[in-house]
Amino acid sequence: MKKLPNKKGYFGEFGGKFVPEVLIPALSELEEAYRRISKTTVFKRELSFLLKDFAGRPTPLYFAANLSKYAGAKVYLKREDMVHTGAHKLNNTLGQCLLAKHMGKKRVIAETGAGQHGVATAASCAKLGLECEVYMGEVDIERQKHNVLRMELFGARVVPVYAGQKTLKDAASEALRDWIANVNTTYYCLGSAIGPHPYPKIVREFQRVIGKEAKRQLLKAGISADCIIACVGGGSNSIGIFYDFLGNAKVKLIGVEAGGEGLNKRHCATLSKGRIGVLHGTKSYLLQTPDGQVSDVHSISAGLDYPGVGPEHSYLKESGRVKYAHAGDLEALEAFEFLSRKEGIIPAMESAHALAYLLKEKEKFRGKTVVICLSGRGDKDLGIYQENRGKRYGY
Amino acid sequence: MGNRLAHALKRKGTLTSFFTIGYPSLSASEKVADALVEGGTDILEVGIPFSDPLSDGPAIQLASSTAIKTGATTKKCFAEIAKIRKKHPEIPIVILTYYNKLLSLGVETFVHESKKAGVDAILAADLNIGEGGEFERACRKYGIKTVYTVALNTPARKIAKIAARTTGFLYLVSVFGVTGTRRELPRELAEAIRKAVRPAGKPILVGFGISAPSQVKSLSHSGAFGVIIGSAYTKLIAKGSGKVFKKLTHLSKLFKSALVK
Repeated sequence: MKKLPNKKGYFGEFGGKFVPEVLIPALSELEEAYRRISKTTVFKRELSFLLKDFAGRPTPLYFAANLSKYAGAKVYLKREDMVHTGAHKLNNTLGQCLLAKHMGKKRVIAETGAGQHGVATAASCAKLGLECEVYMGEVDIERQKHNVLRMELFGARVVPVYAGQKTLKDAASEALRDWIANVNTTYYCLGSAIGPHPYPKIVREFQRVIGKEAKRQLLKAGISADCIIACVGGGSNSIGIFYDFLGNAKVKLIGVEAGGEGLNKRHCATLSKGRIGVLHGTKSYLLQTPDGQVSDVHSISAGLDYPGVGPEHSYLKESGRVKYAHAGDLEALEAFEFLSRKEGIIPAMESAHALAYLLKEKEKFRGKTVVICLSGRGDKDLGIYQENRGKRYGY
Repeated sequence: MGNRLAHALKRKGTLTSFFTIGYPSLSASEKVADALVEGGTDILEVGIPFSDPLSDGPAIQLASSTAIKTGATTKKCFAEIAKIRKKHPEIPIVILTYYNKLLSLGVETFVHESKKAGVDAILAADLNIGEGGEFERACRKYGIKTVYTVALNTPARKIAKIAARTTGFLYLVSVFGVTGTRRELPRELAEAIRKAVRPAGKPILVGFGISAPSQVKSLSHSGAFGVIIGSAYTKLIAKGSGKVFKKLTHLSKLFKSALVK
């Protein structure tokens, strides 16, 4: 298997660095720092300590007996919901913030949608003694209030973004604008496997811990997985769990995007409905109008509410190695309730999309061994659940 | 006709004036252009609006989103440009947009259509020489000049490299940050201009943040070949008073007369 991205940051025809010249020195500095620092014993030791004792890794690979019975398959959940702060996001922020610290950067900025990446960045900065500012769309602030409070508790400043749709995309744009203005002093901690090179690679490398652990846990238990399912917004939890299985053709990999209200209405199914474009510094599939404006998108889960997707996913779609599907708002709601009732686990609304795909296509998985990346916990989604539960029953 | 831009860049002291096509309306674009040309503008820079303008501050963000709402598609922008070209056959026109607008139409088609509309050069704000291959090939094919930006943190050696790939002028971004008027420009700017002149080896136009004629004068003295003004006009248009076109002409005159020839 070819090692990607290549030197220019491309996965096939996807990726690259589509940014103004002012950011080029900073991206080169980051690339160089990552190459130099992340391989040192000191860094590796510090990160592995943080992942173990601060984040609570390894996370269990949990056999969901009741779910399995219902689905007629053997279903294992990779419990990223048990990571400190509530989602896989911390794997990446600990890595990046530690890198920032080693680079001598004092200020860290981040964008956030559901607030999970913001919370994880804020917690990492608190732990590592870094100043933290998080950009968050006004709409997301409203639908994820508790996460705003959590960030503030960790000492971060949450900056509301009023531009555009006031969600994740606009928060990322505003964070990039901040980075352009403060490029000499600030580390931009990007939360997904998107953005200009080297971000898609760095985020993947820090999230690979999910897949590496799962692989080890499967091996130890003497189980071979037939299929791995993960949700895809920008695509960090999915690339994290997929990557170490890419070489094993026996394992089917499925990424589930947010189908929102339906693919002929508002949704975030970038890989199903998008065409190639450039947003936030990377060339990848993009939901855009025929005229090349980025589309307004929608998902019940703020974390999947993004019109783009990581370039490596575009590559994996083209190569056919990963299959990309979608689950809609109501299907996700149903899965959200289902896992809560049957397994006593409230999944994040994002992760519920992966689960929803299994539930709606359960015939396809009959008798198979399936691993689902349960990327986060759903405590943050109770407000959304309360607001939308009626829809599920058609009230 | 092919040397409109070269002609405008023969003598120091060029004023480049930017406005977003479709702001406040498609039909106003031509009048805005007229007003700016009347004020002594040497080069017109026209914005084709993009939904996610990463390099722009609030004024041009608002102009872009409004323009998109008023129906300023790429196709309609080309039609407006063609009108401006017809009325002002001598003025160089530079498109400023974002790369997705090119990619969406097809880079080659975009460049070809620009040429047909009478455009002289194209600058995509989020494109740098590392990704500019396809863009440059298309520009060579259709005889459109390329423009790239350099920043305050671009080393001299890189400036030379970028200048070599720029067939129009070199756009020096005056601030760390996005477009938008600023009362003060960074202290290191004068030094950066002086240092860039030699490696650039071609005209350097300084843009971003310029709000006052006094700033223009001092940039001019530091060796800037000319300046690019955008947000100052855009804010004026946003106010939307009845005399907006007269005011644009007046402001353009003020900037032009502050330039050192």
